[in-house]
Amino acid sequence: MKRKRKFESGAATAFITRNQALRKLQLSLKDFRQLCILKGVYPQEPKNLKKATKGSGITRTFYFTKDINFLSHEPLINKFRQTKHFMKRLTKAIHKKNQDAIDRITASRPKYKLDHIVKERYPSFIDAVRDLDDCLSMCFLFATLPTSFTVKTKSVHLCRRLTVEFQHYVIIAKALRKVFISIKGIYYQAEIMGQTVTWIVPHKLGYQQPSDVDFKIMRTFVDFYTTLLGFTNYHLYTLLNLHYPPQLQLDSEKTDTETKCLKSEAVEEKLAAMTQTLKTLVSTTEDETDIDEFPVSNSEDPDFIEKAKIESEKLEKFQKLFTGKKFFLNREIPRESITFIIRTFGGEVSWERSLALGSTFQETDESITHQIVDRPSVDKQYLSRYYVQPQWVFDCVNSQMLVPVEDYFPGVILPPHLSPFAKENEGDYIPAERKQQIKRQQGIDSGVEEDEVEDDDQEEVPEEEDSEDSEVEEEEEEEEEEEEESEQDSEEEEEEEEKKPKKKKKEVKEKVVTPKRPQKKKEMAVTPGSVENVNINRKIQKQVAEEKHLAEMMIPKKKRQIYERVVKSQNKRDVKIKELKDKRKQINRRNKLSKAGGD
Amino acid sequence: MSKRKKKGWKSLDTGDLEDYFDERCFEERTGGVISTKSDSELFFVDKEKYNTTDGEKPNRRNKKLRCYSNLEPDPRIKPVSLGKCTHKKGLKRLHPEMKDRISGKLDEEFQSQIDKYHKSSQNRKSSRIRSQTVPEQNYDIWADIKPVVPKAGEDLISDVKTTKPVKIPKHKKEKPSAHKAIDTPHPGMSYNPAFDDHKKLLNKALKVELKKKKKEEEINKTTVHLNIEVKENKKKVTKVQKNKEEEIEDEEFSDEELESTGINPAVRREDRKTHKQKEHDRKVKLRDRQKNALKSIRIRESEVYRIKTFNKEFKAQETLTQIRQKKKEKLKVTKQFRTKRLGHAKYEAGDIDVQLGKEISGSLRKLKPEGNILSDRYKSFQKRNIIPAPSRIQKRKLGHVKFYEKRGHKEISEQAGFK
Repeated sequence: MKRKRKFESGAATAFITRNQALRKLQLSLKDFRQLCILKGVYPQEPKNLKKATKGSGITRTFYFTKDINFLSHEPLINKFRQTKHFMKRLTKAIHKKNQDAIDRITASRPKYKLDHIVKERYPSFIDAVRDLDDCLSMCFLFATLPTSFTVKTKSVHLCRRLTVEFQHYVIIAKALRKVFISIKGIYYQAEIMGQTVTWIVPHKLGYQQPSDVDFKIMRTFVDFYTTLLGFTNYHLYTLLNLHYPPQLQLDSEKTDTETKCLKSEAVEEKLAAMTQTLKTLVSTTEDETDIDEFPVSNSEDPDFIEKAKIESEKLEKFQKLFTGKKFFLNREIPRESITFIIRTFGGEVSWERSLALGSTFQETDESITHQIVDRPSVDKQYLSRYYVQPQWVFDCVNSQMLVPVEDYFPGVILPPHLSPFAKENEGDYIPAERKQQIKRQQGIDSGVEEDEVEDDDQEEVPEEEDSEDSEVEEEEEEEEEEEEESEQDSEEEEEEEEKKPKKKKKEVKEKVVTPKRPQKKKEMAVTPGSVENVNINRKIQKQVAEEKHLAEMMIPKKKRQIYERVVKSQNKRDVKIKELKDKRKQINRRNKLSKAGGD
Repeated sequence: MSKRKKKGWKSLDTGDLEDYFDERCFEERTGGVISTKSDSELFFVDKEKYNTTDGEKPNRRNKKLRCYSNLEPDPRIKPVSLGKCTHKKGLKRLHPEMKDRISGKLDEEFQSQIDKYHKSSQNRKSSRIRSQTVPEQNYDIWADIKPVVPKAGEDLISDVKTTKPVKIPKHKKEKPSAHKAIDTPHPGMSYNPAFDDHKKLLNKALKVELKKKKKEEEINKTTVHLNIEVKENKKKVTKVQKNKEEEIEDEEFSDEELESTGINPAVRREDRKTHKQKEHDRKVKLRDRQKNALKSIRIRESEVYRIKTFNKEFKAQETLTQIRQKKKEKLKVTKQFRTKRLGHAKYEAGDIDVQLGKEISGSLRKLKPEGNILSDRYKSFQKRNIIPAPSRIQKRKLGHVKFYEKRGHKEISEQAGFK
């Protein structure tokens, strides 16, 4: 039997340090880094450092030995070696100042393709879609970078082309779902093949080169991501029966003569303008597809199909948010993002012809419904259209409906731009604006639906109890004044909300009355019987409360302490929420009074 | 005469015979043996008239020499035939296509081919140029690959020869971190945030900043404290060293004593156990062992009555393991979100991007972007264990520069200082 020695198996052999890997693959550190990024091989952290380092216990960068063995089969390594040789030759020629040789050698620069790696890392298309977040945000970022020593014109141009292509796909597939303008950049979320894809696009101003970023690494990421995005674009275009190098439907040559740029550039610019639709391979008329009805009896959710149908209808309505609307953008508007959003929801966009290529109609067009303006006042106004600030477009998308225009007129202080990505936990305080947005997303217009009543039921109960502690908040009035500014415009919604509870109270009263009816029938008489009015909701609530009480009683002594702590924290939170709500109420009341006084 | 020697061999004259054979051969070559021929074959009646040169004798000088006439071909002897001659004389050998071209048959086709060649070469050129600028993605890598079906008559074995793809390690399917590629933005990061959201974000940033400050203060405190201690310690150390040195000097004199009370003192005759003592010890040892064995048996037997306590212990153990398991599961989940240490440097989260109330303009036109997406992406890669955190780039050390004032300058500056 062979003697078992130390560090011959286990962690000591499963991991390999970076230097060892370099020696094994015979690559330079630069090339190795590049290869790891391209192939998606990540460094690892061994569980037991002492074992992995064979006793020394010094932190190093480790890789799995299996990974390195896998890397050693990569044909790209050969290319790296060739480039190394190429660089040697080139530098020699440069130092000898042999221009002929330089020309000759540069022409024979070894090139590599990453197609096989894309296929290997993403064996199916859906895998690629799932991993598109990183890819898109990097490409969008590089598309905006100024060309410099660190970033080449070629890659910037390529990123720009690919991102434009992708945006065209989103426009045609109507895949956009959420938009959010943050101070960092603009967040987009789309749904592609059932996967949510999120990406961020930087604002197009004030770029500063960060000093703490390793550009070599970022460039290799972009290298890979551009190939990935190219292939996904191709696949997505073929799914929609579109020409892959995208072609515009109308190719008016009139503008070509006007502009002074090359024809190829003009075509690219027009594509980037995103105002025209793309040519399809097969001319198809949009036919309404109905959901197939399956005789499925889902015991858990019997109206599963119904719900799905309603959902799909809502989505269809959402996708046609701006259809039939004509937008005209002023020159101070971030043109690209707004054009992209409006076009995805079916609107038409144009701008002044002198501003950029791709404008389709002029400002004088009477059929324009909205003009987007971002300055305090507009000199010449047409009566036939609304003048709105750009935030209106974003808020419309996030609330999935056309938000009232009045709050967004030029010069008006805008309502806050809320994040559609925010997720409130159960029982958290939700400010009124956000509540309204959520309701709008659910397709409930404020004021009519029954679902709201149910929602408010839970919120109502605590409010009634705590009507007395309104005095406490007088100290915090200073803060409230600040709040006022941002929340002035949402009074109307508040009023509506205040009306709702009144209705509800009436309902509750009725419910209370109903059980008393049988008591009246004590007299000996035959009266026509009526169906006993049983409030099922109330019964269920009662039962639930009873069960909860029983469960609480069953909690063992040990765990009771924890439970009580949880309950206490919940109560604390509820009190805070109540405080906030009362504050809000007060503010609204004061606003109303001041308004009435002003009138 | 004996015929053993060459001398005794009879030399026959074969000249006649040879002559005869030569003649015969010659006759056969020149149309058969004369002796066997009939008269009519040999002779014919000459009916032509000849203009004989009257009186003129044939010129002997004109007569060719026998050696030359021998070389002349005999008209009676036919030349040897070397098989048939295939090609006709006077025709150039050409490639069949060329022949057709000369005859004008393929003119149009030829021209079209030339055009095609030029076009393809141009295409190649342009594609070469394009490949330098734009990588082409003009096919679908995710399209279904059709299995290769051999045609009729084709050998199957040729298809079997394809190399197998490299096996991908199983763990490559797992993502290095459970974090999302793009963090959901905090609602307070909106360019026109709601008051509450903005306040929350500010609070969050403040907490981080306070933590940093606290750490800094702690470090300051400890380092300042250490400085004092180091000084004091140094003094102490020097004192102690001095004392020790003195002691060592003292000890040098008492070496003999050291030997006597060493670590392994020598065994003396007086210290040895006697046989009696040894025997006694052995007996005691044995007795103890027996006692202990009996005791352990007794204990084990009595354990029957402790079943209840054992059960309790088991239960306690079980609950403990369950708690541990739950903890482990929780840890597993949290571990997926952990940023690992992948090198010398530790990952440091970037600053939270916040704008103060003054900086928020509330209008898209006046928006001042905050934070950098590029560095944000870079940090995100580090956070998700895709690349190791970079160790701080060491600045190149400049050579030591010695500053001095020139004498002339020094004088002037000193004077200025005096004034």
